[in-house]
Amino acid sequence: MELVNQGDPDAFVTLYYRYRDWVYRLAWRFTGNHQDALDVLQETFTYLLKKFPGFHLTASMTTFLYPVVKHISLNIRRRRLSGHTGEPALDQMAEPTRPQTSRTELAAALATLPDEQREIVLMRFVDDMTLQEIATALNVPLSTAKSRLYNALRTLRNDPRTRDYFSE
Amino acid sequence: MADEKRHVDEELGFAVSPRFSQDLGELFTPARDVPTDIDRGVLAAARRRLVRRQPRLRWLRWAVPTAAAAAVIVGAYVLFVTGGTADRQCQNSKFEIRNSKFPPKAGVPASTVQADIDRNGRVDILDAFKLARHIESGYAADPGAPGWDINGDGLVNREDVDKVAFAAVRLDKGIL
Repeated sequence: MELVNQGDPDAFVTLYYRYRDWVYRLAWRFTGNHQDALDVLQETFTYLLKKFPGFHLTASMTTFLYPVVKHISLNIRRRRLSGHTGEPALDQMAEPTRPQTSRTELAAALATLPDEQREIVLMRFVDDMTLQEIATALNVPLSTAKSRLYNALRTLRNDPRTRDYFSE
Repeated sequence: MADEKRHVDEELGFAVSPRFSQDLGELFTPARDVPTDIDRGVLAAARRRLVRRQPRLRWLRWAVPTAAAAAVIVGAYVLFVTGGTADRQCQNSKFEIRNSKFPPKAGVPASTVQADIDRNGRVDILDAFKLARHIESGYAADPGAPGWDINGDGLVNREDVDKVAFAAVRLDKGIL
C-alpha cells in the first residue's frame, strides 16, 4: 500500500490481482450479470486508484472494498433497471447460477432468507469475513451483524433442504 | 480465520459443516473469468495515473536544489562580472576621503567614502549612474573635477563606474 502511495505502478498491479477475483465475484453476486460485474470491477479499481496517494487503510481491504462494490453494483443495477420496464428487469437480480442437485436445494433455501440475512451469510461463508469486518463493512453494530447471522443460520438449520449442513 | 469463524459460529450456537462454505462458494462463482482486456484497461489506467504523479514528485525533488544551485551560479556570475574586478581593484586602491559633505563614520572603508559621488552620505546605484554620466559628458576628465579615480589607476573611466556599482550592491554596501 505504501509503495502505491509512492506512485509505484507495479505495487498497484499486485494489489489488483490480489483482490480482482473477489471484487468480480462480489459484483457478480450483486448484479447477477457478467457484463455489469465487469463494469463494477473497473469502476471499483478506478475509485480505489483515486485514493492514491495518501490512502491509509484503517480496516482490511475487503472491509473497505465491500461497501464500494455494493454501492457501485446497486447503482449500475438501478441504471440498468431504469432502462427496462416490468418483469424483464427481474432478470437482472443476482441469483446463484447453475444450481445442481443438492446445491439446487441450498439455493432454494437461501432464497427464502431476507436480503440482509442472505448477504451476511455470504459475507461470512463465502467471503470468509469476521463478524467485526461484516459489521464495519455494512456499517451496522456488531450485535446487529450477529443477530442477522444467527437468525439466518437458525432458519437454514430448520429448513429440511439445508439441515444436513448443521450438526447437533 | 477458519478457527475464528468456527469459534464465533459455535458462540452463536451453530456447528456448520465446511461443506456449507464450499457449496455456497461454488454456487456463487461466476461462470466466466475476468477477460484480459479488462485487466489491461484497469492496469493501463493505473499506470497512467501513477506515472503522471511520479515525475511531478521527482521534479519537485530535484527542482529545489537545482534552483538553489542556479541562484548561486547566477549570483557568483553577477558578482564576478560587475564586482569582481572592482573588488580586486578596491583591495589595491588607496582611497582618500574626498568630496563628501558628510564626515565618514569610524571604520568605514575609504573606498566606500570616495564612491559617494553625489555626496549624499551613502553609496547607491545612483552614484554609479552619476559617475557614468560625468564620464560620458567629459566632465570627469576636467582638471577641476573631483577626484573620481576610484580604483587609483590614474584614469576615471568605466572601471571606476563598475566599482561604484559594486559598492552599491554588495551586502555591506556603502552606508557612510
